[in-house]
Amino acid sequence: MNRPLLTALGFSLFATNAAWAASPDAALSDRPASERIGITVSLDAEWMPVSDGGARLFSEKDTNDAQGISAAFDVKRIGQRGTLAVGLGILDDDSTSIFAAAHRASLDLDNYYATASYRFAVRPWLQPYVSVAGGGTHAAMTLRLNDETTLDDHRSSHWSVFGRASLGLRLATPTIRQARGSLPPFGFAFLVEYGFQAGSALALRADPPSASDAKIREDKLPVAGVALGTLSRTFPFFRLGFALLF
Amino acid sequence: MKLLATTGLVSGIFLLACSPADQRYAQPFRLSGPVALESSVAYVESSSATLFMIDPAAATLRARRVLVGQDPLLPVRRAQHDEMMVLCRGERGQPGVPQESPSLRLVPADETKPVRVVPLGTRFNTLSQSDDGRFVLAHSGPTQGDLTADLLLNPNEIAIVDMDAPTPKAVSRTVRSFGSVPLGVTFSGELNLPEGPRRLAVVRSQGYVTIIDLTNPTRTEITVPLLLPDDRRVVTPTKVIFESKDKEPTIFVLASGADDIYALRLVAVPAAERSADGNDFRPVLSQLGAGRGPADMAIFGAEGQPRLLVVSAGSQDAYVIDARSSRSTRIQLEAPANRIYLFEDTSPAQPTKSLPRALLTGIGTEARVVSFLDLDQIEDLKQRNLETSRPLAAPATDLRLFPLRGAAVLSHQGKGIGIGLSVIDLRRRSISPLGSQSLPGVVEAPAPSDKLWIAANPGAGGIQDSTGQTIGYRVAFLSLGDLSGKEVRVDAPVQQILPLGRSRDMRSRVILTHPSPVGYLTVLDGESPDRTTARSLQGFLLDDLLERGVK
Repeated sequence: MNRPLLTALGFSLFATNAAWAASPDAALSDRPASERIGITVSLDAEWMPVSDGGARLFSEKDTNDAQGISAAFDVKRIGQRGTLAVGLGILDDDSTSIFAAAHRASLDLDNYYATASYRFAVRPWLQPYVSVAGGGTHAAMTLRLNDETTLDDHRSSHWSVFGRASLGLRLATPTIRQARGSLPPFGFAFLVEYGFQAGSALALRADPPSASDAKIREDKLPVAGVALGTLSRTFPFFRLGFALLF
Repeated sequence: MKLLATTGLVSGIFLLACSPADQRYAQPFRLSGPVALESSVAYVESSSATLFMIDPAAATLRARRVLVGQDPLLPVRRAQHDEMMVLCRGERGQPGVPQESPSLRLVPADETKPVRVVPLGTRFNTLSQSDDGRFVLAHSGPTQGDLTADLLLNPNEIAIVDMDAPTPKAVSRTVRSFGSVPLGVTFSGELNLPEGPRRLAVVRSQGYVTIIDLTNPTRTEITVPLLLPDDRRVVTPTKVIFESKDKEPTIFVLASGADDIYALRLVAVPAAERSADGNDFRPVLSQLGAGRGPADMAIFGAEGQPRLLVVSAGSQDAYVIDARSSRSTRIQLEAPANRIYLFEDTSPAQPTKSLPRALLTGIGTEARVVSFLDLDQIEDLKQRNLETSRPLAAPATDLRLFPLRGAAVLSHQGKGIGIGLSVIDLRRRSISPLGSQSLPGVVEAPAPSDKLWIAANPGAGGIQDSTGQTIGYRVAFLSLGDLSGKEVRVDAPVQQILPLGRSRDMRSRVILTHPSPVGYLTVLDGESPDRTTARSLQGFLLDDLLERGVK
């Protein structure tokens, strides 16, 4: 089992225990969540299949994973049980692999996005939702060649944009209120989401290493790097999240 | 808790449903080359069965990729053609990998011309070709490839391809064996044979040679043992030359382990004696004495008067042999020689007469002199036609002859003496030593360039700044016209120098290759080499890697 899954499940277990037993003053309330101010902060873990053959350069696995954090704010109530929320998030997807039996390829993807979601409280604790998101991905690629003749790593960085649509389920605990009132009412939620991302492909290059010293860098002969090709950023994804609700 | 457990279970199924890891990038790069074409350079990467061709004249340096057959083994330039030949051993098949027959791939440098495929029936591992690139012979050589990888291998099977045919096809056959395997092949030019001018191939094997009619490859081959059946000596043919001007051409065979030169005169077979698929000629063997340990031979002389010049390092002499009468003339040398370089030029004694002459050297021996032999009237004037040079700074390890420029360049072995090269003026017979930091390799640029390129030994040539940091490496060139030497600083150690001919922009270029697991080269201007006009390409093996994978 991989790191993000363990993180998500571990965090969920911890948080559930914390909700029940963290403070002797804490008491569960069956009052509606509307008492809260409508801010959601979530730790997210995400998995997506490696559908692009080129991505095998950076990952030997068939599934990539990413971890991140997101925050959303309930901006509008729609009807009795509907809520419209907007938010921001960041998702970090790092992968490293050995290629050609000797060399190391790393791809560090930082995804920045904004979301808008509509959720509907079937029950106070059961809230299905739909979500759309848009953002950009910054990719930093490194090829470290395992050879004594190699001067340095081949690196390059790129941007791509993406849009997402997903369906999810938010399972929320009742509101927790502290008797002494030192904290605002809060709750926890567990999020399960499945969706699809469509993104512009990353056009990766292997640019030769350049010297850090400007004088040496200017003295070097002009060197052409090579285009590695494109990496698709369109895929389905599966997300788990643990959220703190205020 | 139940909810968490359920979610965890679903996630686990999502992850475990994945198939085994994809191995497309697992294979290591296996790079062969570089091979210099007329104005481009080529490499073959075996794991991806891809030929990379780089045109240094292109505005943007980039490798053109051409897929070749599986398990490409031998990339070579087709002689006299701007075309690569790649011997591909094919794929014998495994789960998920389809079988592919062995083939010879012909990839023109001009990307508008199609790649040609000549199917081969056998997984050969060696290619030999005629000097003009017309005939190619695929066979199983003694050193190339893993011969034990095949369940069954016939090392005496060969395939002959006539590249000038509209659709080249491989004609396979097995040459008669007396226990050895083909060691190499020598191709003749046009020979005057009874049925008309034709070309032959002579396959060299230990103890015998095999003559094959290239124009009629299905005709029976002729095997000529070099020893009598009860002779237990080990005789290995090392050089074959052809005397083609005579009405009855002769094949001369030089062999290690033998003090004789083997002469095979090709005489006509009377029509009445010929079998259905027999040859129109047969060899008549004679042995020519040539001192002790003959090491090199060459043919000279006017039409109808061919002479064989032989140097014998063991007895420190040279022999001029009349190929018809077998009469030989011995010339005693001052130092043993094992290489003959023929040229035609003037000499200090005959400043106006350009006549055939020979430069005789002892490469890899302790000899510290070279000999000039004037071949005109050699049988009459004998020793008087010999001139020995003044002592060299050190014994020679290599010699390159540049007859059109009237020069030869000797590389020296002299460790610690600070001299790595000497330039011999063939007309004046003077020797100019050149200083060098290390023992360099010498590469000649194609005409009309007059430059010799000189690479330092691996590990030498680094330039340090005042702090001891390496800031570059040097490569040197020598203009033969005025013997002026210059250097160019580049950014990485130089592995190989490949001077190219003129590109379509009528400029020549020089490729320097640098050590790198992903390909690294620098392009210099051939006419005016200078750092300011140099540019590099790095990592071309990675070109489009995401789209194609390694395997």
